[in-house]
This record gives sequence, C-alpha cells and structure tokens, in this order.
Amino acid sequence: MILETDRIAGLIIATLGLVLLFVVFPFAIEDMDDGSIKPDTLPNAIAAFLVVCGILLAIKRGEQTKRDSRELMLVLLYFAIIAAGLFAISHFGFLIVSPFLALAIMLIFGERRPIWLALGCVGMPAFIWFLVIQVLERSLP
Amino acid sequence: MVDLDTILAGLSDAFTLWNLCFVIFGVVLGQLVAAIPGIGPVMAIAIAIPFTFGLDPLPAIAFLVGVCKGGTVGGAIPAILINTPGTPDSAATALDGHPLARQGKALKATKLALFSSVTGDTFSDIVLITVSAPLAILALRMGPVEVFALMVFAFAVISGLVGKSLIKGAIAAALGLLAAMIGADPENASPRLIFGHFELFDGLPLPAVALGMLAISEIVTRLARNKGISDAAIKLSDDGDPANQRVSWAEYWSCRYTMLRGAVIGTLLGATPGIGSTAAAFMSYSSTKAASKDPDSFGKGNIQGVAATESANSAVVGANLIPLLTLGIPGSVSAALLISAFMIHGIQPGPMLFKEQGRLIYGLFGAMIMANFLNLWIGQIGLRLWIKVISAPQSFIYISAIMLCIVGVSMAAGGLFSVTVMLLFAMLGYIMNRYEFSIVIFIISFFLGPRFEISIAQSTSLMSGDWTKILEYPIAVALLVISVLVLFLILRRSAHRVSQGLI
Repeated sequence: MILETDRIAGLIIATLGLVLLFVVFPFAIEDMDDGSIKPDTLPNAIAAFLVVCGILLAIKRGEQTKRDSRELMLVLLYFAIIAAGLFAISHFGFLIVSPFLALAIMLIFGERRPIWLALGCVGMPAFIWFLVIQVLERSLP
Repeated sequence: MVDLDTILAGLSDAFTLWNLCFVIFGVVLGQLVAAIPGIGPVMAIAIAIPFTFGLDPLPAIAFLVGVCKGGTVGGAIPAILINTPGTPDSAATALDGHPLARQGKALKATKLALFSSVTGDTFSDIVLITVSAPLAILALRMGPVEVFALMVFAFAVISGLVGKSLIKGAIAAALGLLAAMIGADPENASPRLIFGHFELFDGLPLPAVALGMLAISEIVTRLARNKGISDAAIKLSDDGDPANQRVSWAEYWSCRYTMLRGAVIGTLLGATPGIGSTAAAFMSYSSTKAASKDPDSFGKGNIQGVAATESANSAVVGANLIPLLTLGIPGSVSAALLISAFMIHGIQPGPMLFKEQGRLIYGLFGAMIMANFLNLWIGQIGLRLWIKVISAPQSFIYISAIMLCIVGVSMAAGGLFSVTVMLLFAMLGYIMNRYEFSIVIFIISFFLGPRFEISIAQSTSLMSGDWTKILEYPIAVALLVISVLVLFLILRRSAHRVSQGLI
C-alpha cells in the first residue's frame, strides 16, 4: 500500500510529539515549582498539540507530493558541501576556505565560464573581506 | 500622545544627508535584489541585518525599510519581462504585465508597476503615521490577559490563512513555538532543551533561524533544481514606439480608482498579521477584474491589472508596521526581521515604543516618506540598469548569497555555532517546503513564542491559576471568540473546497 505523503508526515509529527513528551522533555527540562507555570508546561502542551495535529493530518485525505529523488540527492549533496565547508572554516578560516567552497558549488551547478568562476571564487570573498574587515571593522570567521 | 516637539525632532533627524544615503542604498539594494528571482527582499533584509550593527538605530532601520520598499518595486521586473516573479506577490503582476511585455510594451508595464507601487505604498504610510500613535495608546491599556488573547488570535489567523491546510499551518506554528522553547525559561531562567550547549542559553538566534529557512534553504532548492543552465537572462525589448515606453498622465489617471482600491485592500490586509502581500495582490486583482466593464481583457495586457496588483502588494509594506510598532506583533516575515533589527539596537517594539522612543519612530516615518520618493526616482532611472545587472548568472548570485549568509550570521549571532544552527534550520526549511508546511508561520511563531509564554505566565499569576476568571476580561474573551470564529470559517471554507474538488 502506498502511503500518502501527508499520512507519513502526520505519523512522523505525532511520533515526534510523543517522543518529546515522554523521552526528551523529562530529560532536558528541569523541574521547578517556582513561578506561575512550570518550565515544561508550554513545551508539554505544544508536544501534545503536535500529537493531535499529527494524527489529524494522518487520517485526513491528503496529497501525494511529487517525489524527485534527483533533486533530493542534489540537495543533500549541497548541504554536505556547505557543512564540510563550515568544518574547514572552523580550522582554516573563511578567507582560505571560501574560494574552494564557491568553486565546488559553482562547478556542480554547471558553471564553466572562467570569468564567473573567478568572480565567485576570488571576487566575492575579496569583496566580503573588504566589507567586513575594512568597512565594518569586524572579524571574519 | 507624542508631543509636537518630538514629532518635529524625529522628522528632522530623518531628513539628513546621512540618513538619505542609507535610505538610497536600501532602496537600490531592495529593487536590485527583488528583481532577481529566488533572492527577494526578505532574504536581503535577513542578510543585511547583521551588517547594520555598527550603525545608529535610525539609519539602520531606515536602510532596512528602504530594502522592503525597494523590494516591492523590483519584484515586478522579472514578472513582467520573463513571466517569473521576483517575489511571490509579483505573481499577480505577471498576469497582465507579461502579456504587455509580449506586445512590445515592457517599459510601459514596468513604469506603471513602479507608479502604482509608490502610490499604494504612500497611501499605507499615511495610514500608518495617522493611526499608529492612537492605536498604541489603546494597546497600552491591554494587560497580560488581553495580550495572551491577542496572540491566540494572531496564531489563529496566521495558521489558517497562510497556505492550503489549517492542520499544516497549526503544525508549523507549533514547531515554531517549540523552537522558541529552547533556551532559558523566561520565568525561572532554568535552561531548557540546550543539551549541554550553553551557546543556546539565550535561545536560538533569530538571524540563524531566519536566514537558514528563508535564504539557504531556498538557494539550495534552486541549486538542486537547476537543469544545467547557469544563466539568468532577462532581455528588454521594445518596438520603438515612444508611446509604449512611457506611461502618460491620462493612463495613470485612468487607474486612480484601481490603485485606491488596491491600496485600501493592501492596507487592511497588511495590518492583519499573517495575510501578506501575495493575498492582497490577488484579492485586488480579482476585485478590479470583477468591477471592470471589460473583464475579458484581463490576462491579456490590461494596465488596470498591473495597477491593481502593484498598488496592493506595496500598500502591505507600510501597513505591516502597524501591528509591529503598536503591539510588537510582526505582520509578516519582513516585519519579524525588522523587529529583530530593532532589538539588536536595544529597542523593544510594542505600545511603549511611542512613549519611550517617540523621536525614533517619527524619524522612521520621515525615512519612510523619503524612501517612497526615492523609490520612484531610483526606479525611473535604474530600470534599464537593473536589467543589465541581474543578467549575472545564477551560479554567481547564489554562491554570493551563501557566503554573505555565513559571514552575516557569524557576525550577528556569535560565531560558527550559529552558522551550524543556520544550516540545520535550512534543512528543516527544505523539508517543510517540500511537504508544504509554511515557513512563514514557523518564523512568526518562533518570534512570538517567548512573549506568548510570558503572557500565559502573567495571566496565570493575575488570575491566581483560575482560568475561569478570564470571563472577567471582556476584551480577551472577545478576541478568543473571534479566534474561534476565524478558525471555524477557515475550516468551513476548507471543507467547501474539498467538496468542490478544489483540493
């Protein structure tokens, strides 16, 4: 049986609500008796609301979202590249890493013209350096 | 009420060369960025906020408001020229704007869009300047219980009116509120959901959340949907007939009732949280078509169609600031971002703003008036220039935006931890978009979350824990009843559409 996308989303949301209510919040929120409401009052209410809404979404007639696995793979790839870039920036700094990050993304996107590659990989980081360091007198990551 | 001295002082603060330069810069940036499909003024504001740290509050906020206003003009350019709206609210402009361009009247259409935008924007600014101070006085009489009820009303309206599904809207609102729970509990300052990361003690940084969901998520989606073409070509062509390259006074005057109707619709909808400029544009278009003697001409290049949409979507900008300045409730994502800009500069939007920062507010109003004139002037001279500039390839534009987001969030929110948060929310934003959960609702709820919780705590304290005493607060009861009615009407409308097979 093919499950509709909304049905799957509803089940995930409801499950998330239950996990939050019974697993996460007892662990991650301190119990305090001071104050008008406890620290976990509103979070618990939101989680319960998510459970209810998730169930409603799962049982109502929903839509099947068009699945494009190519797009999904590319999205994951771009996110992975940006994450790797952030990791590298934390070790080597923005000015050293950003040209490589820009080059990777532009090449995967399909850009091949040297002038635009140069502008993206060198020109833009240089502009950002000028704007942040010289004009705003702040530091780059 | 704010006294005359304060008003005059505020206006004189605004009309300085320094502020003028920032408003010009904001309008230029707004027009340019909105003309690039996929970027938009909201993203530009989010990226620009961190870069305004070093400025005084007035030029900083004036610059951002300039971006908003410029954005309402710029979005029409690609909508008219290539049938690809630069902003969602310009989708309605394409209905008649693009047919006009195909008839060789591209410049006429873009200029009329400009004039209509400025007209609608000016109308709503006048309403804003006139009603916001009295409304703020009214708002000051509201206590925590009324504020709580008002927030429930705002959530009900936002959840129901944005997007196709009330349940999905409610889920998006709940997720936004949940994200707002991360950090110190507002009553006891006990850490919640920080999982050992003390960087989260003050909560998730709004710039990281907003930029992640609005900018990075959108950019990555567009990168992934690219079919191997790296160009963003926009061409301006005309048949050489001078009459097709300008808007005559007679043509502008013939659209006066249309623009007035659009401006009123935009102002009313803009003052209501969550409805936004897209709905205003389409509503104005449909009502103009319905009122027209020649409705069949719409969709085939009728200038009234362009005037209707642009006056409405621009009128929303000024009106969005009504709930923002008077109640501290953002009417849109742009307004939520403006609130974060206010707060970064140590200003708390809300009813006390007119009392405590009256001079700044009237300075802002002065800057908005300047921005309207500049929008018109810069739009007139910049039109052909924007088209050349935005012909840069998408690859360059998107990678530039990514780098600016990384640097901006790092500056705004203290380092690469916040940039990591931005990336996580970008992934969440992509998933929400893919499965049609509204990001707009999420961000507005995320922003209102702490205030909502404080209002609940204060109301509970005021009523000594007995919520049946809410019946002693008639305004709060009225707001809650209206919220229920709104939800009922939305559910009924949704059921009607399901039965008609429309969804």
